[in-house]
Amino acid sequence: MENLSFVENVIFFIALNAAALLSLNIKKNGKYIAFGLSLISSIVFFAMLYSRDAFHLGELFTLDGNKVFLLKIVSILNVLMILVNGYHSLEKVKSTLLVSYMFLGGVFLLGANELITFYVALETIALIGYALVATSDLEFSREAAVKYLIQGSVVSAIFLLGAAFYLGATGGLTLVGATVNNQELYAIAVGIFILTACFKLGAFPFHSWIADVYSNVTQANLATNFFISKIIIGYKFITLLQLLLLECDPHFQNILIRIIQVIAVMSAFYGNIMGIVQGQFKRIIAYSSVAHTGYMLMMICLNPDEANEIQLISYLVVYSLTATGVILILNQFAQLNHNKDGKDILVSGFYRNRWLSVLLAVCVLSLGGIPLTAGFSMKYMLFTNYFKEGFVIEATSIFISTIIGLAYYIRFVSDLFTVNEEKMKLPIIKTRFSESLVHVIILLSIFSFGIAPSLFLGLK
Amino acid sequence: MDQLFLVKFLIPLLWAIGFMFAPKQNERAIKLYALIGSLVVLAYSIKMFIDLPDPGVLTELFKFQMPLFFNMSYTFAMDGLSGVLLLLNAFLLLVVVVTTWEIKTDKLRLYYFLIFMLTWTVNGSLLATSLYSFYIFWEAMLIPLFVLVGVFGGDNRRYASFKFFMMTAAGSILMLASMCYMSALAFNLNGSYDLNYEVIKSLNLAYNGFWSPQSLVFWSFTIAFFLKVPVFPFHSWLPDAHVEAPTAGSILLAGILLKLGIYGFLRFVIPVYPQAVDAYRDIVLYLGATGVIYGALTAWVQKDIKKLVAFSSISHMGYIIMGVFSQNSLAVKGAIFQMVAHGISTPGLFIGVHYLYTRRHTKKLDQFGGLAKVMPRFATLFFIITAGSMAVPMTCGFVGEFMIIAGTYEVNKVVAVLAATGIMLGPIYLLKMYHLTALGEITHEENKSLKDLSLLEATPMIVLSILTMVLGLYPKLVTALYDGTINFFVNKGL
Repeated sequence: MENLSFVENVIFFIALNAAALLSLNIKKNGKYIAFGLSLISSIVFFAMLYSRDAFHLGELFTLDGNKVFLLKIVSILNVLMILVNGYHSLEKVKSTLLVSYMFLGGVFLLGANELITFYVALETIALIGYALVATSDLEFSREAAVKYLIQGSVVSAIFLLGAAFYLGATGGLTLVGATVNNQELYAIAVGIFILTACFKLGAFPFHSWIADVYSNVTQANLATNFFISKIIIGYKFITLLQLLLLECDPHFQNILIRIIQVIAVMSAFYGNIMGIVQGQFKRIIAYSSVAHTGYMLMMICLNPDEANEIQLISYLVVYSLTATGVILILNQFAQLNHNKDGKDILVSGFYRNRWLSVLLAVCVLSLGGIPLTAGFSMKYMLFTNYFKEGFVIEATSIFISTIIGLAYYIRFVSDLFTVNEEKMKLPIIKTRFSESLVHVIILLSIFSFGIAPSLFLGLK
Repeated sequence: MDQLFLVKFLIPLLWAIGFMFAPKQNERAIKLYALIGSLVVLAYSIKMFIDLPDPGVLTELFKFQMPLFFNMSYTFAMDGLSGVLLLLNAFLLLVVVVTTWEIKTDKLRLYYFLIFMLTWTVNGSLLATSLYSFYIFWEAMLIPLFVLVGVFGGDNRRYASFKFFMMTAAGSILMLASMCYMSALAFNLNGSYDLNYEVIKSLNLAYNGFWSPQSLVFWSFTIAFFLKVPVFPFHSWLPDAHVEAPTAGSILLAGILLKLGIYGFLRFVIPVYPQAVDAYRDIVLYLGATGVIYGALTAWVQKDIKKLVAFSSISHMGYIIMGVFSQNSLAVKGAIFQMVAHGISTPGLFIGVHYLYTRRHTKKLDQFGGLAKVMPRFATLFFIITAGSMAVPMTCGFVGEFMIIAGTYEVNKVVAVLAATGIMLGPIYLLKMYHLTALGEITHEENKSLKDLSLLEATPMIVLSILTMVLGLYPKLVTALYDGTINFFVNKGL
């Protein structure tokens, strides 16, 4: 009965969104109907998740424990993002529908226990990602989408190759409890999965798509991409690789861990250094994301226990929420600049839009890891854990890279408080109720998780 | 435990929040509110000191265990050292409010908000004894000062505030890395990540050369505190920050914020990493002496009064760092006294510069001269404060520097002799400054019509001048407050 209700809900979700897609053809009120249906489907999905602790569909698909917890958080964020996107613009409603399918891909990725479901779910997310970039009506959107698509396709092909090696090494495609018969093939397979994770998360040197994609999508699309792809793909890959590494021969395990550590440290330095030299704020966020991927990737080297998993979820959710806050507010500032992400869109922002400016400052200071914000407590927890596991040199190196990162985060704050008579005359930004609601949630989250990060356990 | 501690401690924060709701148009009401707030802060700081049972012992005032964050404790305690600096902080808040009473800005609420926030975060750093809570306040104080300089500063404020923030935050991140490392060790040892004072002392990090844990943690803390003090060669942010900062920023920066680096050494380095302190003591002493000479020589060639005073601060802070690291009771006593003396004389000099700037809109030395003829009240008060800064006998500056050099001489004669040259260089650049502003003939027409200080303007300078002389004649007024703590710091916490 329990399983049936999950399947029914997924079908209901797909049906409502398909109906929403069709209703866009209705001339007069199509976008309103589509928005309403999409919103209902997401709320119903969350309601179904709310009272459940686990879902099983045979051996291929399991959602339990932390996965359900994570899915609940992402579902709430999904509902909020639908509200933020709103029903005023047809383009945004279309984006909302695309993101709903991306969310569904995320659900399947999270529960996937074998490589085919894993691959299909990953590709669903990726395809929607390509579409979101391509449908953004910016100058170089299509070029960025093609670049993203080509690189993504190559990585998908390589992932399939990895799956083949995995099959050869274990005699099956099941990800949990597989018996390794050939350690060499297995190590190659795990290495390829690490490469895929690095590409999907945008780690150095597999990051080349990220800056172009981020700077050529509309801000709302970018925000949704953040919480769906970063949270779910990040969680799934990191926890999966932790488990897969355990089965590796110690010799190969050591090599793979070294590779991950080098990529993590390089990503942190590269992302932070490149962030400084960027002119556009969206590109800054893109490179900041490369750096944060570096901080996170080190988690693959930790033991797959409950505490580490909760820490990973906390970090992913806080990072995505904060970055989403930055993107949404930048979007609002960019509206005064004809939606262009110019160098000076934030100048004198504080004297025109105090609330938005303070919130933006809090968000970027959190990304920079200033105390009392969620970014600080997550960083503190993460790095203490790295030290505890004995990764002293790696953790210290990444720490040093964060000093560089502060330079571009503080630029946001500096711009907001800079006095410029001409900019001060710009009109005040209007904020819709749904946007204000998201702002309040982000602000509360940043401070409450900054002061008491273990609240996450309370949420669970 | 002080039952009312939290209420008293949060007053500056609550007062700062109050500015957000103050009526924007009524400037007088906002200023009065600020004045009352600064008096309240001073009153409760005095009360807290009076209530301290024994200034020689670190008395716990408040402890809060944070189960939702690694079970970290937020511990606040006070002894003579933190008490003296707490009083200095509250006193300087009042000085700032009175000095900038005539300030003209359409962002008055933001201005006072930042000043009170700064005061609160400084108080937090002074009272926090768990490393975690110390770090939070230590880092949090950067933001109000960053905005204060960035919004209310001079033409090059953006660059100056950015440089100040980045350099001090860089040091803080090194400290944070060490904290995470110690947290991990504490967890392995006690099953808790907490970094309260007893825990960090009990970690007993091994010392056996530069790459040993105690040495590396020592240097990460030391670089963070060097950047804050700042000690040569980590000083480059200070002249820019001082020159571009508004007067309030300069007063608080020179008066109290720089001392927090020294306070950090006394509280969290010297008692905690004794072997590393012994091993690297001479390096720090030489850096201190170099700072004394470098700061003095650089101040000598400055053409901007504010920059001159900024470099004089680097020179004076060089003495203090020497005193603290010499590990001699006379020198440590002198270093703490010099913190107070510098917290009186340098803000006094900045106030003088503020009055000159508000009248002439320039800080160039060659634009003044002969001001004693038209501004005798200013010239007299400015002279007393300058004398205090150049360590003339019977002023507070002399007492501190004399004790430091005498104490250091017992430990390292070369460093003491090198630092003593600063006593000769001090009068050269400070008398040059005074000569070019107040003495001689009036060479610029605009200066002939300058108005002398009003009673309101003169008040902070009168108070600082009196303190300069009184503490020079009777230093025990201050030394008695922290005397009992000296042995703790000299014996490295034993």
